[in-house]
Amino acid sequence: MHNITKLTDEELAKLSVSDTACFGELIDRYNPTLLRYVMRRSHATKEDAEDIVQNSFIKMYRNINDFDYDLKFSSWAYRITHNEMIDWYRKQNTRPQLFITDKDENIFDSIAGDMNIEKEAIQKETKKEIESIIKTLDPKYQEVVSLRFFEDKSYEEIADILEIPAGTVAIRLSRAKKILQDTLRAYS
Amino acid sequence: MSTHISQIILNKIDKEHIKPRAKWYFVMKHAALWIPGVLVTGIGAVAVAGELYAIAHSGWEFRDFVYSTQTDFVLAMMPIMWIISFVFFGSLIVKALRTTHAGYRFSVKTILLVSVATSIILGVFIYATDEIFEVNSVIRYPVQVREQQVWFSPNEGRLSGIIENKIESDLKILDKDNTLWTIDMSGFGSTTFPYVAEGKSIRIIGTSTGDADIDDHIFIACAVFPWDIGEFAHMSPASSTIMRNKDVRILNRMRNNNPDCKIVIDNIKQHVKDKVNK
Repeated sequence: MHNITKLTDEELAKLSVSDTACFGELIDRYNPTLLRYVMRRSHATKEDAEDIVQNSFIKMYRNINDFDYDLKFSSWAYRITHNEMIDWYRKQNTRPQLFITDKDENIFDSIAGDMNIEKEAIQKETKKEIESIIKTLDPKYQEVVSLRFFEDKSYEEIADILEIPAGTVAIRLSRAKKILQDTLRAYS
Repeated sequence: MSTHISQIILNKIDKEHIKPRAKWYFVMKHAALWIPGVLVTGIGAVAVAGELYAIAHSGWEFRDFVYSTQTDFVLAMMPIMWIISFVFFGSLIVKALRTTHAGYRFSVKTILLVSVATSIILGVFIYATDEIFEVNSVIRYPVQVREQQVWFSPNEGRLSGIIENKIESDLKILDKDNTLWTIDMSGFGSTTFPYVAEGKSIRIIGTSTGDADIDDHIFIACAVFPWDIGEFAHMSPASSTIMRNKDVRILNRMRNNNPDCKIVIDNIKQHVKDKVNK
């Protein structure tokens, strides 16, 4: 009997084929993160977000033999959830939108750091400005900004989640940052 | 210890008898996703082989008799169809390979570079195989069509056919429509050509003088070549001299004393030039 809490995500994924308890452990590990991701990226109600995440876990279980061990399990889980969320949006005939909550305060510091803006310069008003600019970004820029700054994913992880080359991630992020910088400069 | 959510999901999995799909299902699925990429690269390779065949069989031997300049020759012989095919299928490869399991990880540049390199290597292999084993594959088809068009234009000074018989300085040849032509070889004097023999296929540059309305098909030969491209270089004793001097080469090849031949060939060149520039 394994002490499943000590196993890595990838080891749990391997064992999930024959042992649903291992998959249960993966659900426990990822449910809060994925739920927060869906809530941030959607105007869905909490119930809808829970449905999206639950359906994503069912898909992960059904396709667990397709998990590529070159990837991090988290990237694969985010990918499936992201696609499930996009499907949900398609059915609703709407587009994903980034929602920033009060819990995301420290993310502004991260964005400021990345854009070489002094932390002190990120005042309350500027935060509001950043938030409004992010919301006006094209969805393809929003999704990389969301994964980079709100989910703290590396370029390679974002590439694996969105299934685009890492170079494209870098280009999109750099363009998104440029839009943010230019718009902030215009504000000031 | 399982949380409420994981318990709900595990119960659903259990209740609905949801099972992980078998590994072989994904192996097959990923293999199937490679099919368009493999097909596109394969067609690209055939296009490369076709280009190589067209270049090798563009008729270097007749260049000086038909084309005024190198540019006219290159423009007329460019394997446009194969080049378009190669570019078209090359542009599809990115889309085709991006759908594969890990295709998203590669940049457009990498996919194009690897695919083009693979197509070229495979193309060279297909071309070499076709040449060695004389497969007579699809890569020869456009050249064959072009050859038919170019070398069955008696009004434009080019004719081809199989030699039926040879009587003194006249040849009787059957063209592709089974029309019997009399070829006047008198301008060549006593020169003999090893490839001018009964049953052999030849190409002739010259001028048609007969009256087609009364079934009088006469063609005065100014230059005679074997049908099989490349054969001339092996069979002509003057080939080594030919390589050194363009003018000597033309004279050696023609050895035709008919003074009208220069005019005939100049007219052909002008006609082809006008056609190419059009």
